Amino acid sequence: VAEQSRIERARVRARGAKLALGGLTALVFGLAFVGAKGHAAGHVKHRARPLGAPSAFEQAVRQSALQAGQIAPPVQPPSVVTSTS
Amino acid sequence: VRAAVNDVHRFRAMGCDVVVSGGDPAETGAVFARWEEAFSRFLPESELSRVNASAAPAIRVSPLFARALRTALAAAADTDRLVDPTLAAALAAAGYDRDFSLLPADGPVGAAAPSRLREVRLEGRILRRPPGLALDLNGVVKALAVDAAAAALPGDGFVSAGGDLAVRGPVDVGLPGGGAVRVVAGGLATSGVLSRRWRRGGRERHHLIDPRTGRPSDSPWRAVTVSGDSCLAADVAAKAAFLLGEDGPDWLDERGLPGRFLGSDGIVENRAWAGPTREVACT
Repeated sequence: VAEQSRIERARVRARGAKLALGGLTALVFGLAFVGAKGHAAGHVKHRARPLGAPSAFEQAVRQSALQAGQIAPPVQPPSVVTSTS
Repeated sequence: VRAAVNDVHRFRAMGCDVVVSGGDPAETGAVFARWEEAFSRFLPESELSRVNASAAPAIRVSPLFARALRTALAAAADTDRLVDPTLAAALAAAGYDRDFSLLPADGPVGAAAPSRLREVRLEGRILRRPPGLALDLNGVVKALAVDAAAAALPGDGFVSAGGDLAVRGPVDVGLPGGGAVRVVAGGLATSGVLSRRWRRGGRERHHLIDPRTGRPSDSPWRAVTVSGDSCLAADVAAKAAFLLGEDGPDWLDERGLPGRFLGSDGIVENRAWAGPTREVACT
């Protein structure tokens, strides 16, 4: 009976050790997963946005609508006079 | 604009004299009527008045309205927000709250109203802005109408409205303060305080509001004339150059735009204005 009791206690210890090891493994995996999400290069750390040039860049390269006209010295009396608007 | 030859036709629209040469004045008049019906601040049934009176935070506007507002927002971006379509409240506070011919001799002046440009969003034809924010698109609408009317001319000619001019073929144009220039292509516009002045709060006011103060500008210039590749470009640049005061000539030169500034001490021409004129004069 004493021999069976020792074996039974050893089994309980072994089961506990397995559970502890499994739990520790799951915990380490979970921490590594969260850490990788938060810090590792290549992992998305925020909601994905559509690809596009930064607005400041778009503004810098956008062509202004303000373009010069063509003027020259007058050759005859004016047809009209520009006043003010 | 004052006509000086016989083949021109004149009529009133948008609160100013319209002069057309080389086309059917009835057709030009129809163009201006269409734009005025949509964008007048003083017609209660205009689309602008209805948009300004609407309590809805988002409104679906007409294609014409969306085009004009998009142009106005682009003009604001091109001028570092000097030409601003959200200054209707400032204009009304300064006293210009009804048709110019109906303004009283004097009256109280309202509080300055700053720019609210950042509150306006246009997505396609959906306009979003806080209810109560009044738009004034007159900074671009008249020039757009002039460009549209000039594009509809069958051949050479010009269309001019209250200082804004677009040409089809060369036209010699008299300038404020004397002198003249030949507009070979594009448009010519003058912005200033020689006309449209009224009294409020015991002093003279004008319609060129500085968005940085929400008040009529204290610019030293009386009139600024700019040449652009369209009447719109010329008009927007002339307004910005006027509002920039002493910095106006350099601001135009940085963009290659010819400008002529009439001040109380005389006339200043920027390098872009003086350069081509001298070049052509030597050939």
